[in-house]
Amino acid sequence: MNNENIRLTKLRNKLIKEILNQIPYSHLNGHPTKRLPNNANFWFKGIEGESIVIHLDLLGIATSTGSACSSEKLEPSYVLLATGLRPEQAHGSLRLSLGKWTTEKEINYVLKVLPKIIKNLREISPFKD
Amino acid sequence: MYTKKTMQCFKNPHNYGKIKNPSGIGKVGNIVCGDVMWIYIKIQKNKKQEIIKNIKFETFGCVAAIATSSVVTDLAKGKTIKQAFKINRENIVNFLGGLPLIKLHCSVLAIDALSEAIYDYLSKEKKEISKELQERHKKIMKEKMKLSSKTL
Repeated sequence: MNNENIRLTKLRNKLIKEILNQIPYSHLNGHPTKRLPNNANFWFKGIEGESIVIHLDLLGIATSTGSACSSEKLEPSYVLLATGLRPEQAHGSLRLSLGKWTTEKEINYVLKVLPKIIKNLREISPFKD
Repeated sequence: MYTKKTMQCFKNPHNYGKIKNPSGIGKVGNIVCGDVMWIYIKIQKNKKQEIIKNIKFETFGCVAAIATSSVVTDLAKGKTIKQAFKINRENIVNFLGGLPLIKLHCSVLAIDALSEAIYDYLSKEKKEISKELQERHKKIMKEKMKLSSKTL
């Protein structure tokens, strides 16, 4: 179990570090280290979460968002709001969860495709600047 | 949950971006609620008619918001402003082969953005604005005010 925690934490840290490095105006939600080893949660300026999730889904990557658009009540995640995010930031959130079967190859795949998805959605957005 | 057509329009949306020196801009939605649509139009005047020669959109929103933006710009392109004003949300929803109930408001937003762009053009040109368009503009403004007071 402890080995698994170490493995997941290492993979998750790589994911967080690389996303923040490679994607401009990306932010980590929650504490950098005091979090579950399998959880990474971000928000991206100027774009909406459901669009990110569906683009990733089309590429075979299952993720989640706290955006209002993806909820039944059309309200953003109350957890993200409670951590101090504004609604427009919560709309642009993306949760990436790792599991027992997640491999480094898969992390690399996400890192390869995500920056382009964010870039394309920002080109469509009125808030690209 | 989304139709094949909706997914196509989302993956490869048409007419996105800005128009420099547009004849009119329609800005609707609210970022706090999670959907914002801006529509730019460029009008070409003939002797009798005013034609939407170019139309582009910028949208912050979900799959349905992006797909309906793409469809409304496709439907309005090349039309006279009178014809464009007649486009309704059913036209958009039918084109997409349906939208999830919870996403129907995106088609309303797309129609509102187009109406507002036409309204903006007509008022800048100091042209006569039909009663119907005035009413629609008033309603959109009222909703905007309601939302901004709610989110302050």
